[in-house]
Amino acid sequence: MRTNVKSYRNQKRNRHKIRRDKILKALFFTAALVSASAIAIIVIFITQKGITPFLNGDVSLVRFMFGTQWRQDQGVYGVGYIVINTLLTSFGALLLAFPISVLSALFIAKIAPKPIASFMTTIIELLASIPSVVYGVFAAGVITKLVMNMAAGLGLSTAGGSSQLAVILLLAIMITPTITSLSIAAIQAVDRDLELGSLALGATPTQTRFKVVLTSAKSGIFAGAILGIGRAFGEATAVAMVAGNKMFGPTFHPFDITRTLTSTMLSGLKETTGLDYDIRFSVGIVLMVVILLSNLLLNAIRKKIGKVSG
Amino acid sequence: MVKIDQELDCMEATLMKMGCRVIRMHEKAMTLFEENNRDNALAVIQSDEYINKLEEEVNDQAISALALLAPVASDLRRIITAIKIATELERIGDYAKGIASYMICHDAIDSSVCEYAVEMERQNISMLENALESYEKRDVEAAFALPQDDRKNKILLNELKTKLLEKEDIETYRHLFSISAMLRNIERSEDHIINICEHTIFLIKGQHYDFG
Amino acid sequence: METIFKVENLNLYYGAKQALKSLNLDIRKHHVTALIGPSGCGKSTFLRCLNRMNDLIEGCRIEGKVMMDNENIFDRQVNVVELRTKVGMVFQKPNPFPMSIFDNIAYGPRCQGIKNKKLLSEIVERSLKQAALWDEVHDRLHESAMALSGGQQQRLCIARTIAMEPEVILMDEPTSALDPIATAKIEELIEELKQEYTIVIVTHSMQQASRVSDDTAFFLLGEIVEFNTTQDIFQNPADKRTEDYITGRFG
Repeated sequence: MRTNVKSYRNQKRNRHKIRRDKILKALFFTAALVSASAIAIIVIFITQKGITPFLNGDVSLVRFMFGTQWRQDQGVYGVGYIVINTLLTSFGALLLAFPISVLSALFIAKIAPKPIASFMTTIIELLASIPSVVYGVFAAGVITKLVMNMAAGLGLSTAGGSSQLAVILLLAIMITPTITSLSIAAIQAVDRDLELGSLALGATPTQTRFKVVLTSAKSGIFAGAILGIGRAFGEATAVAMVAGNKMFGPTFHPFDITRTLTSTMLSGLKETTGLDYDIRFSVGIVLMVVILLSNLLLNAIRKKIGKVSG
Repeated sequence: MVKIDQELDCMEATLMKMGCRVIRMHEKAMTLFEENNRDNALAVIQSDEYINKLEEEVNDQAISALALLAPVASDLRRIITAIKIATELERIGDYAKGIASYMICHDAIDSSVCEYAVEMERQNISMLENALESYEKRDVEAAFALPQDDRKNKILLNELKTKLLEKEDIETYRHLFSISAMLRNIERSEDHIINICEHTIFLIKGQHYDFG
Repeated sequence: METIFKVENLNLYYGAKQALKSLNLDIRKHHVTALIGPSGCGKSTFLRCLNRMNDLIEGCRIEGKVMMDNENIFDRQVNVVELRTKVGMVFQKPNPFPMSIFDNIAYGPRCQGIKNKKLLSEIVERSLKQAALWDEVHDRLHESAMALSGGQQQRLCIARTIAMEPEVILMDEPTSALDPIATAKIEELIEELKQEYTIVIVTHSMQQASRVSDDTAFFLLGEIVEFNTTQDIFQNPADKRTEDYITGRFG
């Protein structure tokens, strides 16, 4: 057996390898092209269907964008108030879920002893993998009852528990695992040296956790929040089950029923042609624009936070 | 064998070479007392140049080791000691040259002085050989013992002085200063040989001793 | 000469393994004490005992005493957090917080409850001046500390420690991650700092130990083989093991 590497060099084989490289490069490009095309095709279809109602004059764009009523049977389509509802429920869910998620992440990543930490991490992962429809059924049964009792306790009435509050609670539960997981990763990525440095200066462990660990993990935690709220915006099935589908709005009262962009797209799907079908795509476009704008805003804030803390 | 050992062994070999050469210089100078040979005297005088070169070599090797090898503790003492002993040897060599220079300018030496001079030189040569051996072998006891030895040369020198002062002839008086100067070469050599012992003790024990 | 730390029969165990064996030494006030020795011989472990950072390591058990101000720092009633305000530490790799330079230095004082902006500014200025960093950063105190060079970051960490006005500054190989010029600046700094603080420094560099320290302790396999003035250790060590180590004839 030849033992020196030099003798294994082969010019012909190396030329073949270069040719093979070029072929593979083309293959990768083709794969990317296919994925991009798929997205392009979907976007084009949605856009086409979505702008049809406005193009053939069935719905006025202005009344669509700024309307405060949505009555399928009457042909009134105003998405304005629904956008506000969506923003309220999603940001509300974030407000509720954020502190719980971050503090849980801090506990799991820094405070809990190893067996408890790994147990909690498994639970978080399980929560993240529960399908939306299961959450929806759970919410329809449990959360609505809870809301009903709360309202009764305050002397208010609800529509069987379906309400803005129920949606917010539901969404909060659903996005907690997302924010928690990313926060755990961000917290664990903080250099232990920074913690040691803080402790060596005479800071208590708690001071260290809040002033150094969380602030250093800010960027990653914020990214978790952005991902979380993205999920809240896009959640359809579960939300539809407890929203209540208010015809007009916007809803500012927590015990009042509500309607989100996603629940609108689901509600009363009877036929797959005609105005009723196309208008759902219009709502879909509005949803995607809302998500896009929200992401842009939150990312801009994240960058600014990142700059300040270096 | 660490690099610094190699470098310092080389430096000490140069030093021992220097020591041997100085001993030979004095041996030759000693013969001049009994038989004043002009060629031998010149040879001794020229040797001094070679001794100076060797001292420079030892110094250069020492400086190089200091700059490049960051020596501490015993390594550092080796270097300092070598530099110092090289200086002592260079002076001792100078004194041999001094004797030879005197002998070139004078035909012969007074017989009474000659006997003493030869004996004192013999003592010096023996002491120098022992001092260098104790340095090479790192024998601290020998280094201590050498200076404590009966300072035979001092006794001899005093005897000679008394003898010369007893003499009352003009010839002796005329040469007294130059004889005295020549004898000082021998006396000073002994002092430097004692210094070599002090340096050896410093090398081994890290402490300074002064044998006065 | 006053002693600031009196170590008495200190033993340290990581689980079953003994890392420090019967250490005894006195650390002099306003002097620089260097800890030298081969890797893994216990010098960093010992350093961390002095501000009880070893408490953070699981399974670490300590026997013996370290007396400071007539109190054993390992006593139950000793407040660890307070101890660390008196005994500060600078780490091997500079670890500035991802905040502005000002906030980094104000961190310690703020944790102690100081909120007054003027006072904090004074503290920051004084600390940066003592750490020989003021001239270089005084016009960008609110910029991120992460933008500084390695040597500047380390001096920032020193300034941060000084801001707490400790009595002792512990330094764990503070210049091993820095270039020669930054190293020289910090060694110069140590020389100035010892007038006000006591410094204990762990170093791998023999030359650094001989340049900056007054006393040196040679660690080997968890024991202190020799502890003496730096002059004596480097000119005429008493123990052959010390001699072998400092002349590089180890192993």
